[in-house]
Amino acid sequence: MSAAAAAPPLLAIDRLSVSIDGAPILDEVSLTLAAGEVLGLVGASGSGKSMLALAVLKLLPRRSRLQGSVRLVGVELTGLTDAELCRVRGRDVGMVFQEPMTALNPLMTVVNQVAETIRLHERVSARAARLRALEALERVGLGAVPGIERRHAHELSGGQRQRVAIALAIAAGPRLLIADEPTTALDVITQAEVLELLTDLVRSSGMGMILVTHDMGVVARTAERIAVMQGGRILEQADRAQLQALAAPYSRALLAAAQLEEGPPVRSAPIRHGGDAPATLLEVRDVVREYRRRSAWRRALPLRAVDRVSLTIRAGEAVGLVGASGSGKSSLVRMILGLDAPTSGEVRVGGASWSAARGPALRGLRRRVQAVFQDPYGSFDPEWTVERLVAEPFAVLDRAPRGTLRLERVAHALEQVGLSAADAARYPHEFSGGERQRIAIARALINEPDLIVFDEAVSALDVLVRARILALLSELQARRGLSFLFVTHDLGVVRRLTERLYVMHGGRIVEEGGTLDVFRRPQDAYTAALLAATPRIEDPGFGATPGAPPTVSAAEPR
Amino acid sequence: MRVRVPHTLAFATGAVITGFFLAIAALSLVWTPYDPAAIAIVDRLQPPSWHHWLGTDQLGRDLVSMQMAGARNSVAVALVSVVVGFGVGLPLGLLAAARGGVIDELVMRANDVLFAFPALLLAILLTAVLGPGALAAVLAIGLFNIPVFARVTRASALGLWTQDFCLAARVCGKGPLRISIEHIAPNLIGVLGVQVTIQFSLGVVAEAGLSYVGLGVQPPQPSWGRMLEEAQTLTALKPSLAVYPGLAITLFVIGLNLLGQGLKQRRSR
Repeated sequence: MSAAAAAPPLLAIDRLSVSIDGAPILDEVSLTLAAGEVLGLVGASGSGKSMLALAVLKLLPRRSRLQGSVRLVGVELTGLTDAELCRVRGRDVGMVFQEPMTALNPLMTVVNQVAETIRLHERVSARAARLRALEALERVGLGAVPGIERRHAHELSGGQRQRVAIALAIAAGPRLLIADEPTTALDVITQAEVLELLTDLVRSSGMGMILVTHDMGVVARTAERIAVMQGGRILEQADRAQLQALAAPYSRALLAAAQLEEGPPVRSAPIRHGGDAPATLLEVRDVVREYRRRSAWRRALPLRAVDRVSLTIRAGEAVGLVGASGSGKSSLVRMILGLDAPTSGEVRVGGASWSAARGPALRGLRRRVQAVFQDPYGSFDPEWTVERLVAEPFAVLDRAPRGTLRLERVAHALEQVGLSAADAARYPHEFSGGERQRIAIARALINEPDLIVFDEAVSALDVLVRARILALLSELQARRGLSFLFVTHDLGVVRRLTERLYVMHGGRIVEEGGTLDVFRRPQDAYTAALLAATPRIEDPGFGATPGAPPTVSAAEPR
Repeated sequence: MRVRVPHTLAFATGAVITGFFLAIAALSLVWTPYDPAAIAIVDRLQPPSWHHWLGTDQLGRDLVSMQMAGARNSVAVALVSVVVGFGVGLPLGLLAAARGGVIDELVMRANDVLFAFPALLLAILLTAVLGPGALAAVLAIGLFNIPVFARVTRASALGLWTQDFCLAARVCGKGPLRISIEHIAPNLIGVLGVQVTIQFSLGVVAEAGLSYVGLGVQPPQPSWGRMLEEAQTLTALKPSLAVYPGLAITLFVIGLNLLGQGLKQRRSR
């Protein structure tokens, strides 16, 4: 027992530097974490936050060099051999990753996987390990799942899988839990539940936790202390109570992105020319989309992905469509874009129906409706130059501009989105994620469409980049009088950019109304739950007494 | 254990070997030291000399000239059959991936039927119809290549179709045919390039096999497979007659495989 008066902190990282092939990844990072404390590690992709989490356990890629010190309860970890580290990993430090499906072995029942982890670190019988594994599953709230002792990973939902991953991490009773974007792959309501579970576990067992995330709202809800990372360094640190005191521009942007209530929306008041009401541009009427499920055992059952949905967008209007994954919004988007035909019902653009349009009329509709998709990497043919990509919508024109005119149009479109005409000769892989989304927007703009559908178009972007893209979109919309449809699961985006909002759940529109009205007074229970679950920095946090973790001796026998 | 060759080395070695044989084959069209079919019984079974670098065979034909002309015939048969397989297989694979459903099923099941036919059986069948010769060999190997290219094309194309850029192209108003030509096919060049080298080397071996059993190139035209067959009776007397064409086949196949391996590694970089 080494319960000295000045017990060492649970984790002390001192001037830790990591480089890979000579390129610095972490630059003299120093951090401490007390037992029972939750530290939020926030930063953009590439800021080094995940690498820091991995460096604690020396889970580094080959060819990397590590300097500095990492002490766990006073024990230096950087000098340990691989065999010694293997004992630390899992037993003293548990990890939870972003994607629970790939973290679990598809061939083993989840109970056996947890039991295996226990037996790796302790000499216990298979029976005892299994009992303890069931206990661990109960602790993460899976006790009530029927037949959990026989289930495999694919038989559980995403949230349940992440709970199993957490059970794996805590099964051996670690002192430190490292969670790397544990809720990024989950929908907001599940995210709130998993975060609450993590916080409860830390509070009740006196573990320390490092929560790595890009979402300031998640941190505000969970962590006592926050460290903001950028370019491999700790930019600044703050307690939860002093979040607003964070001063660096990057921290401010992260804060702004997680603010739902405060601050004026980026979106300016809708433009209304004269007194007459603007014409209806998009009309979705009683649309149903069914998919046939093939089954060898039962009669084929149609799966209704979209169930009698009606929706309108007027000219010059920005409208949001919000829903979790599986709500049917992607199926609806495909019908709005004219890529799939509705099983019944009708989608009209400017009065013309997709299903009735043929030949020139169909090409005319295609010109009027454009889209920007989620993945800035998959949206472009890697073999094509930017010029060819941006000019691709010319394919629907009867007389597509050629030669200099074509180049001018491409250059103009690129300049509108803040890129330069010289970028036309480059290839997509030469651009960052944010720049690629700008190229995608330029491609959507070039034919001067009436409606652009943004399908999770900023979800994959870092908050700072996202803020700039959102500002660009709001400016473009105001200037050009375009109609936008933002399809997203992110309420913050909708709050910033749209006047009206549709909430989709289980294939139906459960609520519609003015964006601000819906945010202030949600009528539907699902909308209310969605709003409540969305992490934001105004949150009081889960714990009863935030900022006062229970004091637990670091040397407490386990 | 697999020996890992650095991709630059594999690619360079493969390119040199393949290039060498292709150059020899091309050269034989315009020049060989002797007429490869000229018989001179007096000069039969000579050892290597200044006049005959590799010596002569049992009919006094110059072995260097025969090797060169043999290379030409082997390469031509393998190349044309790759072109046949590629030219038919690629569009079939693109079609199956683009249309899906019933058309996909029809195309791919027809491919399975073709694939299930051994090339040798096909060659015998074709020889019976067309008479023995290079054409029957080309068709037999080419038909065998079709399902291979169709499958590789379809599998890779299906992956590409799920990418957002194909969705974006559809939103831009392009149809499946145009997307297949403009987006899908150019992105398949890497995968198909590797497959070409593989089928090319298999084609060389298949041609040798067919010629060996008398179904391929007919006398007096030499080919590596025919040279092996003719050397068979003299293995005890003069084994080098079988060694040269055997070595040529082996080296050429190794060269093509290295080239393919280099291409593959270069792609996955």
